[in-house]
Parts: sequence; structure tokens; C-alpha cells
Amino acid sequence: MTTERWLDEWRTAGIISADRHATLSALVRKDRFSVFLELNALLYLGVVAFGAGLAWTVRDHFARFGDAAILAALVALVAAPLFYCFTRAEPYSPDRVESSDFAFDYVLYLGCLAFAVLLGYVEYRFQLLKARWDDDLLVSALVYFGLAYRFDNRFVLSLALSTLAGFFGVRLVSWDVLPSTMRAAAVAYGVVVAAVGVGMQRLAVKPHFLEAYLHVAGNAVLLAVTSGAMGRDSAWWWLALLLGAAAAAVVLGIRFRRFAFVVYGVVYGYVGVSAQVLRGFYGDTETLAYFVVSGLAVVGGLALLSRRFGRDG
Amino acid sequence: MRRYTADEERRIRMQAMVRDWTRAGLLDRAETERIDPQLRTDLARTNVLLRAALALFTAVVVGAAVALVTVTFHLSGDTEVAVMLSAAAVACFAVADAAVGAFRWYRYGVEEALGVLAAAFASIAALAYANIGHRAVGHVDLIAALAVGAVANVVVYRRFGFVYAAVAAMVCAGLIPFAFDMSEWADTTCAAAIFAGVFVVARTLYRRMGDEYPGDEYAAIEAAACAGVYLSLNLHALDDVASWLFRRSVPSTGVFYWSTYAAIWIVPGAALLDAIRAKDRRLLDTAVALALVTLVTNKPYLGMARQSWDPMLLGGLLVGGAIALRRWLARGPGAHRAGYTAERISAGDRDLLQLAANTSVAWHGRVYEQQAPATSAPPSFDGGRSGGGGAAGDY
Repeated sequence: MTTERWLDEWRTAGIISADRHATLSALVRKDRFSVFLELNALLYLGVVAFGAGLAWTVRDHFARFGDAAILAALVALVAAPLFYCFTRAEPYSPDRVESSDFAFDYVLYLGCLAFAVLLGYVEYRFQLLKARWDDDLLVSALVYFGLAYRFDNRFVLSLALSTLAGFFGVRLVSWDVLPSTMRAAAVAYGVVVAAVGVGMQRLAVKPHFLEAYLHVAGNAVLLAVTSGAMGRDSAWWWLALLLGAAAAAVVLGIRFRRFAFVVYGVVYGYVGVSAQVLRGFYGDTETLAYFVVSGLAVVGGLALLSRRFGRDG
Repeated sequence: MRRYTADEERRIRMQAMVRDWTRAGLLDRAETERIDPQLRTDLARTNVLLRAALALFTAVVVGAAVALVTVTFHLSGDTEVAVMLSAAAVACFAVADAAVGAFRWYRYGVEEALGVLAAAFASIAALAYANIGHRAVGHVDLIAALAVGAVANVVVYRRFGFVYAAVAAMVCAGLIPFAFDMSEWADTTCAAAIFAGVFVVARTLYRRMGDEYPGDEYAAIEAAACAGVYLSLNLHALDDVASWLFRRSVPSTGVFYWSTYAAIWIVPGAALLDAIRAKDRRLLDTAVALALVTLVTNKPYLGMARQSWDPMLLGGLLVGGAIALRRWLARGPGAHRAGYTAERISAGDRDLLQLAANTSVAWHGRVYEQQAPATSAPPSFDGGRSGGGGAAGDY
């Protein structure tokens, strides 16, 4: 049966009204065809490309243009978007606020990227913070958090979260696991981010931001404890922490039906536990047999979990 | 013969549509609750992330099991490996088929991984067969592997309806010309012709059936084939991975080179016009992406050096174009033109934007990593420590 036939049946059975039927039929027939997502994707890519080109140009040509020209251009690129946003924004609300116009979120995002370039340039050229130069990360992060909350902007929130990670000294090294010096910082970062996210949600201030906080926090903590558990001479409590964090992610993910966290818990937990278990194995046969048996156990467990909690349809 | 009936496929798609309409406020809860029972099937489906995890761990199990058999029985010769992989391919397909029958899984991850691995094992087995006694001449082994890979993926698609298997089959077929020792223009042209053939067939079927199942599958194949035509002809689009695709470098002179230059403008343009006319979303998105690739590869094509401000120009063009288009659509009667509107209708659009925002944390972080100095103090000329947005560094 075709979609239009379904709609006709539902209207005949009185399940949907004639108006609903007309609206939905128009969508099915493509009398209305939204390019909202495509236009947003172009805006996002455009702003990211512009920001990258800006940083590249400033880096390569600062000597040619001179400080005054570069600073003037960067200040204008920060000020103009901020002026636009502050003058056109809807009044602040702790709830979700739809943007007042189509490009609004991206204008703010562009201003924030330009601010990052400006701050970096000023710090590099004039070294205002000198020995405390890391503080610019905290300042940037706070500015981004403020703007993200004022204008309800998730792109800027993600910028704030990654800048805060920089302040904590958290970074991946060539896609490798976290170096030992960074693990504690990553755990601290994850705990702080989760606490802020939950706290703001409890205060009912942009509660829809919570998931973004938890994804970042969950990955930071689980990556840190997994890399700790995988270390050749790591302490036993890294594994204990990993098991605890992975179990919490799985249980809370199931409870709140956020299955991404279930997957985080399973994958990180499996990697960390496997690294520990395989340390006692020396032959290929044992190692491969471990993967077959443990993999089957995980598949079985996930299939049961899917059947019970994650059923879709 | 499909494992799922056309009625089941249509119900599943209808159910997804009803959920999206409900989230978008086009249906209310009461209406959805009355509709939902009518659309139910006995197929077991799962959350998309659990599906991905199930596929991942199934691949781990199967990969380890195949390696375990190889190690345990000391299989090292081409014949032994070929036979073992053939058996693995058959076993994977049979288990996937049996699992779907027994558990009524639909896009559950497990059967998907098994199906994909069945095709992959069949392809590698063909490579090993062709290499028995090292008798393969030229790239016969690769040609055999790609041909078997194409056929095996078609079988998987026909049985389970995995569109990505159909796309993989097409890619395998499209790579075959590059494995022949033909002239530079001949392999590129043959590959483009293969993709174009698939495009024409898929487009014809899609236009005949529309977005109803299985038309939606043909639409996806059509869009992928369009990308295949384009990527075959754009000699600079895959510069970094050209050798992986057995692609030789083509001298940047001559009729063929400049013909491909013309093609990289014509293909996205023609696809865009066709997609706009037919309101074909997959082709529309593909055409826009290909047009962007054309803009990015234009300078390498012309032998011009990239400039640091090129991304700014591209960014300005994209932003300006998007805003202008949006305004033009909004000023139309009823905020639409020829049915096109810039307003959000699907609730899924917002989810995708949120996903883009959340995942942008990762690339913000990469910017930070690349610009962070190795030392803890700011050196004189190589940068401050960067924020996620790229604050500081390396000027």
C-alpha cells in the first residue's frame, strides 16, 4: 500500500482530519519540499571554511599586512557579528529559543571563531598574559559559554567545551590513547563538565544542553580511564574506575533511554578489559579465541538488551 | 528473493514517517497511537547506535574466528586460504539468512555485518584463487576480486536490501577498469561509463516508482552512481588516495584532461538541475556536494597554487549563496517557490543539526591540538596555546 493510500484510509476511518490529510498528502506528493537542512549545511560549511581561511591568512600574512590592519580586521569581524546578534536577538529565556532569523546562529559562530583567532593573535604578538598565557583559554571558554547560553547556540557551546578541554590540558596525541600525564586532567575535565551540565539542567537553565555536556564528559572520562587501564604498568584502580564508569554509562543510558551512552560503556569497557585480559595471553590461538568468545558474549548481551530496552518499532 | 516482503518494507518506512510527523507536530499523540498498531510488523528492530555496536562486535567475532581457523590449521597457501574464505563467505551469508529467519531481525547490525563480511570474504577468496601458483597475469587477481565482490554484494543487496551493498557492488564494478593496463583516458572513461550505466538504470527505476519502496532504494543508488561518475572523471578529487584505487596520474595537458575539467562542472550542474526538477533529495544533496568538490579542486586542475584566503572566499560564497537562496524562497507566495521552502518541516533536520554541533567538538579539539605548542612557555614566534576555536598559535 502506498503512503497516500494509508493517508486516505486514515482519513476515511476518522483517525486524521481532512486538514491533516491535506497537509500530509502535500508533503508526500512533494508539493512542499523543504531545503532547510541543505541551506543550514551550506551555512555551517561556509562559516567553518571562512574561519579556517581567516586563521590561515592571518598566520601566513601577518608580516605583510601589519598588526594594525590585522587587528582592525579581526576586531571588526568579532564586533560586527556580536552587534548583529545583540541587536536582533530574542529576549533571553532559560528555555529553548528558536533563532530570530535563519543565519543568526552562524553569524554568532563566525564571531566566536574570529574571536578565537583574534585572541590567539594578540597573545602571540603581544603576550599580554605572558606566564599565565593558558588563562586565555579559560577566558575564551567563559566568553563562549556566556554567548552559547545567551543566544541558545549549540555550535558555540561545543566551541566552549573544547576550549575548556584545552584549559584542562586535555588533547589526543595523533589519535593515540591519552598519555598518562593527561588522564587525571581528562577525568577532572569530564567530571566538571558533567557537573556543570547537570547543575544547569537542575536549575532549568537551557536544560536541552545537557546531552551535549554528557556526551563530551562521558567520552573524556571513559577515554581517560580506558587508556589508564590499558597501560602496561597501570594501577589496578584504573581498571576498577573503568568498570565503574562503564557500568554507570550502561545503566544510566538504559534508564534514560540514551543508548549512545550504553554503547560508550560497552565499547570502552570492552577495550579496557580486553587489554588487561590479553596481557596474560601469549599465543595467537588464545588471543583469537578470546575475541571470539568475548565478542559473542557482547553480541549476545547487546542483542538481549536491544530486545528488552532498545526495540525500535 | 528478498528476506522481507514489500508490505513489511513499506510499513517500516511509513512508521518512520509517522514518527517524524508526530515529532514535527504534524500529527498529535492521539492520532499516532491509533495509527501505530496498523503499521506494526513482527520484525525486530533496534536503536541505531545499538545496531552499530552489534555490527562492530559481530565483525570482531567473525574476523577473529576466521583468523583462528587460519592459525589453528596453519593455512598459508593460496588454495587453502581461498577454500577457507569461500567457506567463511558461505557460512556468513547462511548465518545472516538464518538469523533473519529465526529472529526476524531487520537492520539489527548482526545480519548486516555478516552480509557485508560474506561479500568481502568472497572477494578476497577470488583474489586468492586467482593467485594460486602465482599464475595471475597482470592484475587478473584484482579483476577477479572486484568482479566477485560486485556480484557478491549484489546478491547481499537482493537478499537483504542493504543499499550500501548495492553501492559497494557498483564501486567494485567501477574500479575494475583501473585494474586493466589501459591508457589513462580509457580506464577513466570505462569507469565513468559503468557508473553512468548504473545511474541511468537506477534513475529510470526511481522515476518510475517514486519515493515509495523500492523507489527510495533506487534513489540512493542513483545518487551514489552520480558521485561515481563524477569521481571517476575528476582527476584531482582523489589525489591522496589515487594509488589505492589503482589510478595513474594523468598529464595535465591534452584533450582528455580538459574534457574531464569540463565534465567536473557539467556533471554537478546537470545533476543539480535534474534533482531540482524532480525534487530528488538524495541527488540534490549529492550534486551540491559534488559542486563543492569542483570548487575545491578547480585550482589544482588549472595548475594554480592555493592561497590562504581561498577558504574564506569559498566560505563567503557558501554563506552568501545560502542566505540569498533562503531569502528568495521566503519572498515567494506562501514562503515557497515551486514547492521549495526554506522552512523546517522534518523533526529529523533539527536532530542532524544538533548532531553536527555536538560532533564539532571533535574538530574544534583537533584545531587546538595542531596549534598547541610543545613547550609550556610561549616561544617568541611559534604560537600561544590554542583554544578549541583555534585561539592562538603558530603565527
